[in-house]
Amino acid sequence: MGFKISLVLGAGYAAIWVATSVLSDGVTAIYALTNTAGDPENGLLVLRDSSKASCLICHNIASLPDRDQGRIGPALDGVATRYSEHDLRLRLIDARHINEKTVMPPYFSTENLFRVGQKWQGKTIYTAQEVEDVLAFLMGLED
Amino acid sequence: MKRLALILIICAAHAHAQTLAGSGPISGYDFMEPTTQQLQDDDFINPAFFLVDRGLALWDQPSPTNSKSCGNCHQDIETDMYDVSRQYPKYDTKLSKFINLEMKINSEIVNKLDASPLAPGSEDLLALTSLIGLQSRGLPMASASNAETQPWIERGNTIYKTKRGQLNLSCADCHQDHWGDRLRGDTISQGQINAFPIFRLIWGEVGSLQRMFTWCMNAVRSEPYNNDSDEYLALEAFLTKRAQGLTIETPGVRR
Repeated sequence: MGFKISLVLGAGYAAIWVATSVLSDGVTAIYALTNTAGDPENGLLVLRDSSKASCLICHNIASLPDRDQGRIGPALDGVATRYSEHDLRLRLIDARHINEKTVMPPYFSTENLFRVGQKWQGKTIYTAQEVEDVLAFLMGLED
Repeated sequence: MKRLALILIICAAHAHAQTLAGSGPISGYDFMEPTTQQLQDDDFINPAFFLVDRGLALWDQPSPTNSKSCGNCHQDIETDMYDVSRQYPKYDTKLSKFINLEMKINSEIVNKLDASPLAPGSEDLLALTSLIGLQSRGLPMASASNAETQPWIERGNTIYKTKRGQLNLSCADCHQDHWGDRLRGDTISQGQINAFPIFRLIWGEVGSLQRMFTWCMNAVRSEPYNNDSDEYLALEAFLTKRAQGLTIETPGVRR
């Protein structure tokens, strides 16, 4: 069981220490990124925001009225029934922890990326609070 | 009766999916809405033909330095430029370098017309590329599998499959592994290059293949490569090989 702390520069340049520990089965555990509880209402706004690589580009949420939702990733309906909060957070932060070849962008990581555009260098797609807010919304999507 | 109609629709959809799932490459045309396809189908309404007309005018325009024009040597465009564009990109023995059609046009402008090269992506270069490309329309895409081209194809293949940018996506992630899937309201195409230069509706103008590369790289929040860079040439070589057999549609119309 290892333990590491990595520095992540969030959008807006706020430096955040992310505590992670590698469990015996090799899976990384990541704890809540902020002390402020996630706000599901803001999470929905963030999730829909096309300037923030909207989840709806690739995923479908049937309970939302939004037209033209993507079908690349799995539908997110009932996602809170299928995954724990911890596992969903891990997927949001960096789904490469689960599948190295995933097509899901890492929403809160600046590591192991190639030729990031100048405008985006050192920045994450979501801020720490946005991860927690989107997560709070997703945790409401139960079957 | 309604049920029969439904069954027929399901069968038709299934047959369509079967065709799409076939092993051959599929043109971006097949992924367009019918209204976009119609724009390409008719040369009189295809907006890219404004540039073809401009190309025709440029063809006979005398150079300010030596008064020569393209037309002096290549009088009959349809005959002389037939099958020319699809030979590129290729290794040019005279220039001793691997080049695409745009670079060939510019080398002719510099060496034969004693004029300044046209800027990548400029209207004049797009006009000449469209005019020459049109003379290969209807022919199948071809790729030279010779010793000079092979390393470029291989390098392009690596670039194509390398994840990049803040969104950490490779070309292959979308256009090889997820074509046919819905990205927002659009169906992801195979990203085939058989219609360039294209009039792109979201640009509202004609753009080059390299402009498309840059657009895609910006879309995944990656630093694009420079125009005429080795990386873009390699990508073009690989994509030409990948499109082998697809009918050339230049100048095409896309979303």
